[in-house]
Amino acid sequence: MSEDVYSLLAVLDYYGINMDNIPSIKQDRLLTYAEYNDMASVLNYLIKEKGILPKNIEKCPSVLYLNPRDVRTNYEFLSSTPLYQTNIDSCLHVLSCKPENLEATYDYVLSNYGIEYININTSILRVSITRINDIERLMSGKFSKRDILNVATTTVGIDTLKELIDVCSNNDIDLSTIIFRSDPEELIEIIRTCEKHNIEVDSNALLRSSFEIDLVARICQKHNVKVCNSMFQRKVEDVKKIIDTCERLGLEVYGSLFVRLPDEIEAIVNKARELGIEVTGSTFHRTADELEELKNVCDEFGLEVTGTIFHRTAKEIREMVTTCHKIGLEVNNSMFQKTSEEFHDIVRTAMELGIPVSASLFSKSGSDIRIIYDKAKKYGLEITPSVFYVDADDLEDVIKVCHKYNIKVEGMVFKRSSREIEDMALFAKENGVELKPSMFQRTPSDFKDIINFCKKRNVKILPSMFARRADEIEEIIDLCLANNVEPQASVFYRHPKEVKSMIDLCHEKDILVSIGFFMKPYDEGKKIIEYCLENGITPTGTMFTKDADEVKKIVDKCRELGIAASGTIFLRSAEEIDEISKICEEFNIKTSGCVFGRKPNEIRQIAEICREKNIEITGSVFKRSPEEFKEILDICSEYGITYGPSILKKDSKSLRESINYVKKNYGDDFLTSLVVSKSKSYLEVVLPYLDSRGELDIVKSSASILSLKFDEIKAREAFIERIGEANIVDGRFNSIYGLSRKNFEARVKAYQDANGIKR
Amino acid sequence: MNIDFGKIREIYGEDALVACNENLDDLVKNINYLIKLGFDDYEDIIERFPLAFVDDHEVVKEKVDKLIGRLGDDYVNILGEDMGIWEELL
Repeated sequence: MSEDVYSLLAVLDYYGINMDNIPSIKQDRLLTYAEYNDMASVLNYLIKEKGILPKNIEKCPSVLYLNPRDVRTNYEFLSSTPLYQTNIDSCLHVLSCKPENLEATYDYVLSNYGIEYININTSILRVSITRINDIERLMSGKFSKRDILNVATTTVGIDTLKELIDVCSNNDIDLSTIIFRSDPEELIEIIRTCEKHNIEVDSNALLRSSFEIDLVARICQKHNVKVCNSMFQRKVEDVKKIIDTCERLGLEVYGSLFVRLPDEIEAIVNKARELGIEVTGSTFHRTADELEELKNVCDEFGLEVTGTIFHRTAKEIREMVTTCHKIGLEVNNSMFQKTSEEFHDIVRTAMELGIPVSASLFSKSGSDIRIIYDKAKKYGLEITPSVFYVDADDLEDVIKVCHKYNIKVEGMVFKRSSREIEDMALFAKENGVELKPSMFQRTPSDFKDIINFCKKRNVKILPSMFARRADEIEEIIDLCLANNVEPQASVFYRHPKEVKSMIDLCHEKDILVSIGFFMKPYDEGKKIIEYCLENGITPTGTMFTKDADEVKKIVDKCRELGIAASGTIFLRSAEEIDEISKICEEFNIKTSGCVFGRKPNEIRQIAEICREKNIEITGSVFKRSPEEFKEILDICSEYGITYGPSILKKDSKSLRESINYVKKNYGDDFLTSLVVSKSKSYLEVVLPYLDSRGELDIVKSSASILSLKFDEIKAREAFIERIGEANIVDGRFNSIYGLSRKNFEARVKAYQDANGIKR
Repeated sequence: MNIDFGKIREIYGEDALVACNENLDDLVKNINYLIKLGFDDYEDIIERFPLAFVDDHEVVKEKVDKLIGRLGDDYVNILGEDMGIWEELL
């Protein structure tokens, strides 16, 4: 090793740069082109002065030898812009540009694309404006801004790019995959081979030649294994070894296995089995040694060793969980999708922006969260957890589409792209379905399947159906229809297996299936039903507003107090029932179902009002809140209307409307409960009609005509005329108006038969 | 059961429908009681006098028993001829 190289290695080591983390080809370039003084100066500036992590330099070692004297100028320039510092610090290779070129590209992309695009793809800053323009000429109008800048960042030539775009467009391939294969002919061969074997053309497939892909497909076919694209991360011989290893160990062939070599797989499986860890696809994210550490840290923090936990090392988990405990954040598995650094960046960003750390944030990076936050604020959106599901790029289009179709820009709508929202909105419009926010939980395909199935089965489409996949909804609806259960809201809260189990249980116990039974999970519901039946009580829907333990307490309390345990009583707790019972005794109130529709303090208030106004306390007085009850009584007092059950069922606003109308147009004499209990719109039609016939006064003493629709009144009036009778007989409306519908129809038929009139 | 809730809305307003919905358990029990008493035109009764039947079942049962007790054995026919009698429940 020469003295120069030795000196370079020494200074790199001094600043914490680990050469093992730099690919060998970049190591060679670094040691060949770096000049000691310039490199030391850059390292000192970036690491000591600016606090940049050595690993960021290990990712971009060219900053140490390509134009090192402009690093400081470029860094200071970029730090003065609105670019996120984390993006600058993790994309150091852009510092190797000539300052004038860097500034020019920055200004250009900022003006024509926006700061968010530079944040998403900071590497664009090292691309010349000329190249960006060339790419724009080729791709504008057909591709997104993000695609244009991504392609501009590659080294693919324009002519080659034209060919590649054609190949990708003709074969419906994501253009971003071309960064992995820049030879159009080779790409075509790969596409053909993939098509032959029904393999998706993605970035993994493009790592291998068409010949290799063909071989892997044949190996899989021979071993009856489904091809998964992650296999192409490995050479063909390794794929075969891995499949053989899986067969020997009795393992399912997961895609994630192929990040490991065959020996590693065996070691991982053996270790997992030794530690009592269930082997799933994600287990292979960790080595055998790491598994033991992972198990220990999970045991320490009471975490289940499953799922996304395997995506992280023990050290990362410890760091993340410790932070969670420090800031009072509940640990949830979605966090482990991110590295510890990303997690802390997200938490830091959330705290800086003053937003709660929710699961939705962990699908994004810190910079994405900022972009979404800024855009949401710009468009006046409420910053809720769900807004962070949206693709930062797509938020403006999502808002546009929602406005176009009059969809509220909130909630689950952010889980869908603008294109998906438009697709679903159009489908809903074509099928006469009113869109609700919950429907956007589902993919467009599932959404359409659910609607089509409901139409096929002639079942009302409910928002709660969209909490489940289409195949689950179909199963639930068919179960309901086969068992005479109305497919309504609460049944869709449950998995089809639970619905079936509940229906079977009801059949077994010979009880009617109530839709309320599905408000609780099956196990809880079973306990409630069994306890009720053991105690001679018919299970009803309202019981399921409580859990099994509470139901038991209520049933026991009712038994103690000698009250029937059914219906509205289950809206109250056992303690409330006890209190209500005492109030009923105090006020001599019969403990009927209506009473338990109100809380104890409300019952007391209503009872006191009744006592004060000398009103008999019957069940119906408890149908309204104390405030509404008092308001209605006040209205009745004000207008001298006799208080009765028909008045109490009305709401005060509509009651006042009817009273005002009648008083204004016909006077106080018509202010009776039987008149003013009708809607104002009805009275506005019928009263003037009767008045025009000079029959309005009869209503004061014979108001039952007002229980007929206007059309029905006219129809009966026409019949009375036909049979030659008077509309008013002895100061009352003709008895024809008093006939039940069935009797009236029978009278009409008898008349027609008697007079030979064809119907 | 085929109650014309549109008719109830037309005559009594939306708040009457809300009352029906909020007291559905009692309404159903009261309808079942009418059926048990032999009223096969119960839909017509409910549509014309819904506010009488969204009350507590025990209360409504007591009122209905009192009414038909007064009318005698032929109560179904009497009420079929003069539906206005149901207003006594109000």
